[in-house]
Amino acid sequence: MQIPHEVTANPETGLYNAKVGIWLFLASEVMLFGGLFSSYVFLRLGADFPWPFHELKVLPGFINTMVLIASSVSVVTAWAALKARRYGWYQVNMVFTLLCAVAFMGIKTYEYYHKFVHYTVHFTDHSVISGHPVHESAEHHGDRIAFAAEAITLDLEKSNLEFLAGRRENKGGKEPYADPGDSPLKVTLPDTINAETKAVTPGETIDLTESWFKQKHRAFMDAKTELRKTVTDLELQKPRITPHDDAAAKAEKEEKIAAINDSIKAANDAFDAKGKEHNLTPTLKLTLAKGGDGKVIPVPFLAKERSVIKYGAAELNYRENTLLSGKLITDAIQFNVDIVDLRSTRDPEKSLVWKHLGSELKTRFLKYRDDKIAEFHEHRPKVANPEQDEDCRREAFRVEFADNDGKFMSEEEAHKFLHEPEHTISIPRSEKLFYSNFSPSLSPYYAIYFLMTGLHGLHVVGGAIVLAWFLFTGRKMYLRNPEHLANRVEVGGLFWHFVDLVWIFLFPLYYLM
Amino acid sequence: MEATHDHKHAHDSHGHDHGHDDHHDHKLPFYKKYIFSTDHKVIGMQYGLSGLLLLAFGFMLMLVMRWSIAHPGEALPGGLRWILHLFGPDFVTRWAPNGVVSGSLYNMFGAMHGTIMVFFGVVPLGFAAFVNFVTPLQVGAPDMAFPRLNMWSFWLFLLSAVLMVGSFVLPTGAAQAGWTNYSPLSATVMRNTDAHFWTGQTQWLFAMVFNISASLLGAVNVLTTVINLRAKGMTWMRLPFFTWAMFIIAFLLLLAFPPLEVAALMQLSDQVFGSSFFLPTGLWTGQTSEGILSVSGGGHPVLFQHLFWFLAHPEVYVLLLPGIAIVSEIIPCNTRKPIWGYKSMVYALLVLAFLSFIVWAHHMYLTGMGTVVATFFQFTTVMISIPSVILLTCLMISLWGGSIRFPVPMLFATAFLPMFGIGGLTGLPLAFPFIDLFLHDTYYVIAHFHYIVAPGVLFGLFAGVYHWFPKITGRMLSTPLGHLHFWGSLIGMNVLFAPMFVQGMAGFHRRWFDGGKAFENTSLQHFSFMGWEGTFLDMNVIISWGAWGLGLAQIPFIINFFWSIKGGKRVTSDNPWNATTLEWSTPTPPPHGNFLTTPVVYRGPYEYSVPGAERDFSPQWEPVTPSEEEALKTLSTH
Repeated sequence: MQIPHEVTANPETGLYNAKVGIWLFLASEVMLFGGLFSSYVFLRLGADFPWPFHELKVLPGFINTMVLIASSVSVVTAWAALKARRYGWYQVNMVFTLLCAVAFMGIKTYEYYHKFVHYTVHFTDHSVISGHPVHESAEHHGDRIAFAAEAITLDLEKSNLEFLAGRRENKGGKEPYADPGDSPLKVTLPDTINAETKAVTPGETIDLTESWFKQKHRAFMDAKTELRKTVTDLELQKPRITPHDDAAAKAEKEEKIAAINDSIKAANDAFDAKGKEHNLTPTLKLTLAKGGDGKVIPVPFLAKERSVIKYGAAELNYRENTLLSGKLITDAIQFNVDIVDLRSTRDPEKSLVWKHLGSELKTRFLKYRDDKIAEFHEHRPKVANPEQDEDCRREAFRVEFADNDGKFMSEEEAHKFLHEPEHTISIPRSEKLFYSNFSPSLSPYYAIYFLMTGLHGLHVVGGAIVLAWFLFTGRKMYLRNPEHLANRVEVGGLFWHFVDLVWIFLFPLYYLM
Repeated sequence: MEATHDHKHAHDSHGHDHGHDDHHDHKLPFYKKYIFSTDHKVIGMQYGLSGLLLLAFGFMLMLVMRWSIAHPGEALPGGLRWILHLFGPDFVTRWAPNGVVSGSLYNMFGAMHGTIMVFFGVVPLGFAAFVNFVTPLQVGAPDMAFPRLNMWSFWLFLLSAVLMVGSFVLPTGAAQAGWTNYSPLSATVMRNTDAHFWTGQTQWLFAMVFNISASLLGAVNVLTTVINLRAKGMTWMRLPFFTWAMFIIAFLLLLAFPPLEVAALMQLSDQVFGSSFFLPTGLWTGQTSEGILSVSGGGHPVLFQHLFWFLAHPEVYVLLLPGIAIVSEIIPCNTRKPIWGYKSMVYALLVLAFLSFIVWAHHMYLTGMGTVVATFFQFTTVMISIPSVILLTCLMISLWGGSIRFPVPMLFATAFLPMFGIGGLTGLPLAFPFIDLFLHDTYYVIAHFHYIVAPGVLFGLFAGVYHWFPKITGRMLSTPLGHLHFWGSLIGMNVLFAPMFVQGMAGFHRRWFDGGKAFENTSLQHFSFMGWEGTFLDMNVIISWGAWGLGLAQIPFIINFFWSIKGGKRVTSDNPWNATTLEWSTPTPPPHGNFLTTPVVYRGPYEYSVPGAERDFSPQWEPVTPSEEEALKTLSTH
């Protein structure tokens, strides 16, 4: 059985099936990117923060535009070559198209990488700095929360042992956060463990391992499920009092319900008693190993902020409900700065930033700001209040250390600020409102930038795979029916043009506007 | 009737220059013929069975919810508790302590009931199953335009269904933020859990992305098939209305789903990458111990609603048009007269489809969009009722003067009309913001749209199953069991949904997991009905009885469906209903490639009781006879 109009056009529509299909598919793609562009407009118009613009380097975007336009031309040439039955020329053009796709993705990867390693701190007064956090090492805690644990309380229902990945070893001196390697964490069990049933001695010191925890978790869940079953069965035995019951029937039923409630209470009490006996209470507190002096030796943990639900001076609570008790070492973020942005803070002169960057830089910044405002006023004298103008604020209240034509600092000095330890600042987390790298989490601008360019990138990859398939497997089809291969390349080319067209909109939207 | 074609003809449309579609079914191994099949009929059946199973699953979730509403705080009886055990031994312990439905479980089942019924039940059955089986046959094509893509579409759909149903076994449970999955609730409801990355909410989004992709592939296939593979003589105005409706639905899916895909991807980004597309600045939630959320903020919850409803209103028509489409085939066939106003119906359909894209914000009056915008959407919403009424009116007028027979499909089709009418007319008040502000999120809204999709659309779909079952299997479904199914469903549906209008107007909110028990002392409102008095709260029990009854009424259908595949009465003709459209010209069941000779269409789709014709039906594949021409001439001169 053959599907009609697979290769030859339907005389009524003038189109073969795949061409109808690809135009329809592209219609849905228009709606997809239409939704994204509409969302961009919605987010930009409704933004309650300074919408970033002119932050992306234009050159890589421009090169990518040229690359895609060139590939659009070559894909058409490839199709025309097939129509002219010049297979070799078709191959050359397809290879060129694919190389363009690789070049495009390479440039995009370069752009993405530089954003992912770049971070921003929003202070509580809405001052913003960007730069690089110091990498976590034997000496530095980086941007993690450092906590010295003396005891660990596990939630037998919810905990997992993923927090152990943040465990470090204090080797003294300059190495407070050394990697412990494979050495297991020694913990002491509470005294209430039943040795007979759990095969461990109360107060015994054991290695905290996944398998040990799983066993405890299962035992607890089994006991709890058993209790629930018992209680559910009892609940179901309760008679239902209806409005039609007379007083005697109602009293009888109430009596029965009371008796069942007593049984439920007994079952719960039995579970509690069993819990005390077998240490099946929901939480299990483990003490860390003691030293020769009988005191617990604290173990440092470095926790990612996202994995922590809350912490204080003496406790750190992981999201999965594991609790560390001990002492907070530091929650400061160690950071090197390359951008200061004071557009959103109420009074730039009193910004929290200067507490860390010093008064000398503050004086320079204020002068830079005043110069930029004056410059703006000179160029656009009709703007009555330049300090309120979005463009002016962008130029005057935000400074990139390495990109200011030497008016704020030299490139050499900017390099030192970004890389040298003496310029590393330590920001307490209490001063931090929000902290993120230049990823979708930074702001809705970056979220939609990554979503739109990422989806576009996926289209490039998808299109390239399809074109590569035609290139590497098309020979047989060409020999059998060259028109069929030409049709396929035409359809793939239409998709490729669409991908190009989307970028033609994305480039000005993100790089120029 | 007698077979109207020559069975000895070979497949004259065979060709041998296209390897991937060279699928001769007699040579195919089982797994290729029935599992990874590219045959549109098998794929249609796969969609149909999956859709029916998922509808049953979604229905069971509703039964648990109805128990919680009618008997809050009481342990589920064994039969209903069994449903919870499907999700693993710890499920009851975690979500229904002591067998009592918790608020979280209710929310979970509520969200998943809506999601499964809409995206995994009604659309796969109503659109994908019927369009796959019937449309290529009705347009005279040997298969869909892209058979392999068709198979991919089904398997993507199945993967999405497995992901969606599988989310119940996650430690966080399935999604709990309603079938609309509004942000910021959906972003925060599971935030306080250890699995803050992979939660039920996240899996919901993944499943939806696959589901949407499957729909898009299916839509492209249907549209291409109808545009490019119509048989000779099958002009646009000779297309059966069923195919017209499916064609329009495919366009709706094609153009409306992508913005939802955008919304799903954005929400996925909010869940997985911590972005703030839909999270405003300074969002505080009591559901987490974080207080103000540690996110950048700056996003807009309302943007999600816009993107969601841009799909979801056209989706309403994706849900209901299959019902109308099927009924439009069954009514002329069983009244033995042409459908009334065929062209008006087609144009109404086109207008309806266009308008469906500009009414979405009537679901969002409560966002405070301002009077100007609200007035625009009120205007378009009232406008869209015009084509809807044209469709329904044409179908009703089609009954007038007909020589009506009542096989089971016609019972469902005739019941569809008033049920759908109730659903439609009760929606009109909701078009007006001042009424909607009062009724929004009450049981009135639940009753309104359930009248559309349950006794409305589902009756249409049941009608379709009874109507085309003989073509699919070569056997009839049992009529007595069909009657049991129909009457039980009709009564069950109305007991279930009619009281909800009253409850809704009394202010009962759709999200109360205890059915309003917590507020029982805040109102002394009573109602009296046929001598029976009670409070509005008592209606919960009546409604739930309707639900149990409706469940019981499906048992005859299930028995009938499976028993009749092998045990039903054999059809003696390829056209047992004496119908006129092309699918009835094929052998029964249709072979691979469908037609034994290339079909040619000579006339319109509903030529019943044509003057001058020998019989009361004149199929599309039969040329106009001289006596018909003569009669037509005589009529035109008078």
